[in-house]
Amino acid sequence: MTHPGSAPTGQPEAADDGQPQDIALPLATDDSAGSPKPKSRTGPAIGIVVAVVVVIAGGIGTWVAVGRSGGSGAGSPQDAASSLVADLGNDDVLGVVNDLPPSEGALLRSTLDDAAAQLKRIQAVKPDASSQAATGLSIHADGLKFDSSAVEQVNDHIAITKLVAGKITFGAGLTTNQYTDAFLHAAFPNGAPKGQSTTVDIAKVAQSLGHPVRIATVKVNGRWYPSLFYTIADASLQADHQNWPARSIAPIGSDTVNEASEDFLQAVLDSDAQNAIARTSPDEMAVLHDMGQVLVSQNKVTHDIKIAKITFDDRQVTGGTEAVLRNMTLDANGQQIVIVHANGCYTVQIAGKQQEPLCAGGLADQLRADPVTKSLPSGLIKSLDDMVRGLGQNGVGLVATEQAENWYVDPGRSITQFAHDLEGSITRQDLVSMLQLSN
Amino acid sequence: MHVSWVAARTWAGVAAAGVTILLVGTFLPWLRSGATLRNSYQAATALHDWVSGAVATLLTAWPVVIAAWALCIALYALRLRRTSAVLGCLFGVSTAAVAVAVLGQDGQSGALIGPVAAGPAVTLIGATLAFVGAIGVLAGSGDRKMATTRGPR
Repeated sequence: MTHPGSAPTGQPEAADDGQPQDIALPLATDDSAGSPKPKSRTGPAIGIVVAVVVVIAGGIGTWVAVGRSGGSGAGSPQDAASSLVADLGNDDVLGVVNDLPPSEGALLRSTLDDAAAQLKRIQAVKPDASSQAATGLSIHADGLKFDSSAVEQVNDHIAITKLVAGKITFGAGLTTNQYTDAFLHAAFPNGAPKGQSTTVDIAKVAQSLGHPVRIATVKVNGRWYPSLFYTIADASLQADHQNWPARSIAPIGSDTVNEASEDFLQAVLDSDAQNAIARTSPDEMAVLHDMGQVLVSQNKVTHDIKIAKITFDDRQVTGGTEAVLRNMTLDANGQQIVIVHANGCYTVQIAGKQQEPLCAGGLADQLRADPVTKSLPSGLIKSLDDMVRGLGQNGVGLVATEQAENWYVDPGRSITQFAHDLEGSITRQDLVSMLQLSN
Repeated sequence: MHVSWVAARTWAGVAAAGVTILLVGTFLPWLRSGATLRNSYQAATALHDWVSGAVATLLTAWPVVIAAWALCIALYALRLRRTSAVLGCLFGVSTAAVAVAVLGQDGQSGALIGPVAAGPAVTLIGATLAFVGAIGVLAGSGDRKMATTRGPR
């Protein structure tokens, strides 16, 4: 039994890594007394063949593993909707969120993560609780069926699938083993409430609507995704008996975060919906651009308020940069309005007259002094005051994102950041107070 | 000398068996979301957008685990056994660390999303065997080097 490629005795063969290889072979001694035999070339050849085969097999294995690992999106609107249905049917929260268009998925993920992080901060949930478990959200579908022959192609990147039967159950409740004992004991001294769920019968909904439930899908980078935003937009268009506009509003980017925020604010003050939508992110707010013409035609109110001066403090937040308002001077029909954020307070001056500042502690005093609100539970007043303190400290701003060296305002991120700042200012006692009020 | 040859092949066999078990383990369930089970590659893809930083990089690189072990085997076949063994040790420790990290996660009963022990446990066993086998190959290689240095008598 000779090892392939073995070296003659006494002449150890060095491999490429500089180490002598295979000098201790059973038959090596057989050659010591006789004349040296020519080296076998079969062994190295077999080794090379084996190495090539293994490398090819490894490459194929990697390709198969990656290919079958379920990348995002689907090849058609119907497949995208079917994927969502399958994931809903399996309670696959991870799959459902990953089914959404990347921008919507990212927004939803960061929202869930933020909420979970805040619950962990106030030690309401355990440090290792997952985002989904911490927020207690669940969704389950049974027997969902689409009318595969009725996919409505709105344009090259929007298609509507028609859901005709099945049931979807939305659940919200405490997964008690995810919450800290201290929180559960404080919030629910008589035991944690059972989770609540709502079941929607698609057939009944379709009957009351007079048409199937429409699930909008969008094409992003050549792949189709079921979209939450587009489905909501489509439902609102249907409710108003309107169709999707034939053309979208083209995005208008700005050079800086502050410029994008100022341009957007001025467009809002001008009630110029077209310009305001054009200033929003064409990625995460693509739905606004696509249905924007409908909103523009509905909006006819005009104002004469100009931003005379505005400054921001920029800070990095999840998903973008927030331009936090530092001060702003508005010219409203010749009357000056000055808003200043300083020392944790917002002060407003109208035509030179100072208004009541909005500060931490100030709101509580106002609520306690007011005959209507003074009877509010002290825990709730403290919670509201803590929220105002958080807003005063963090400030209020607009989140902008950069795409292709242009900055756009992202209303979705701005809202979630506002909510994040509110959540970030409450304490565990605040949450307990609010939960006790709701029980 | 014959004993040394058998020992070397035995350690290589242990490493090969470990690599096989390890790779099978990566295709077993690692992650549960509702009623859906995902193997390590599907889990890496599904979780990629939920994490950031080093973990995201690790998840992106994870499918390379197959190619990495294939490289080790190919190097062994090309008789670069010490190099193969050193890489085997490194990959063995790395793969085992990932499996241990997943196994160390709380199962979070009641949560819809959670780790599954089957995949990482089998992968850990395979990685341990591959590591031990690689160490054996490396040690045997060292012995032979000393024998070679002394030269034939």
